[in-house]
Amino acid sequence: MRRVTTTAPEVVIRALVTDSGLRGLVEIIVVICLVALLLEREMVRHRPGRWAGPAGRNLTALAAPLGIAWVAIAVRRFLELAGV
Amino acid sequence: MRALAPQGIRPGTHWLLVYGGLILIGEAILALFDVALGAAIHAVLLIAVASHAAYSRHEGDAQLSVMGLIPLVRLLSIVMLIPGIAPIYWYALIGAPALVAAGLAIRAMGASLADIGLGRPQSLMEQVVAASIGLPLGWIAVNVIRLPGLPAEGVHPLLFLAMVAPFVVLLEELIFRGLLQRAATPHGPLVAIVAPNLFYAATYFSTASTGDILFMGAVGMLFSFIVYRTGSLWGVIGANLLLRIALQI
Repeated sequence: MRRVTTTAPEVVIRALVTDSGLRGLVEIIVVICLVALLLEREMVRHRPGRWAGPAGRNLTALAAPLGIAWVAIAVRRFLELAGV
Repeated sequence: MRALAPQGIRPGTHWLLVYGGLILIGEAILALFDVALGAAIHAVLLIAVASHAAYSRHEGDAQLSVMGLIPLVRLLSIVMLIPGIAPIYWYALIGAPALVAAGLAIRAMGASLADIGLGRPQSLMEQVVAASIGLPLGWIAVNVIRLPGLPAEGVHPLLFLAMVAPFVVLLEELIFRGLLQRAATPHGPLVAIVAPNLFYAATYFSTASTGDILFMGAVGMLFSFIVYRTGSLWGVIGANLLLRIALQI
């Protein structure tokens, strides 16, 4: 298996591409993570005190990319279902 | 010395060690043993770090949220790819949302681009010299370490640059030598230079090559030292890009 030098190691990618069950499992983990962060963001947003603003922004910073990932997962799954 | 650090604000050392250790364990498990278990550890860590930063009453702990970027990039690197699309484009799929996260993290920290090291450098010549270090590093990587290049055979050089410069090089430097080093700098120069690069080296666990991991860890520390001394990321961004180009040639 070819190795690469990046923050996106191909060893992991290849393993997941060839194992759709494993890929699905990690996708579920990502979605759970996204939902947890969004729920927490909602709780923090309405929290009084000086931390509410920065804390909410920190959570947004981590949740936003997972939201993008969720959209990508949904599009890919839709394309797979459509047979594209 | 022009260190990238908010004065007087620092996360608790013990929490840096705890989360840092767990990130290393998660990377090792994901890369060497079990992808799903490693991904689950990263997901739990992401939520734990975000929660800790959100709820802690210690002002410096807000800086801990930048540690969430490592589990985040790892999760993205697993799910943000589409089989059938050329691998060179996968770096954009992974890197674009990760750059969004880094940008939002900078905003959340109330930092400017200059605070992170992306402002106008104080000495242009200093940065040019720093960037030129990428050439000998590239030579060592190719001829001594025999580091493999990215999966970009037959890719047009401009496309290679368009994918690698922002989504591999800028992303790595922004996260490891920018945000993480900024959070670690109040703990002293040793922690600032070593800690972010332990994580950086850990992202290469999946190469399963001790030489690759040690070399990239050493390169990261050299880059961190340069950033610590010059206060700018531009030189090491140039050096990292030259290293990648050398590997490809």
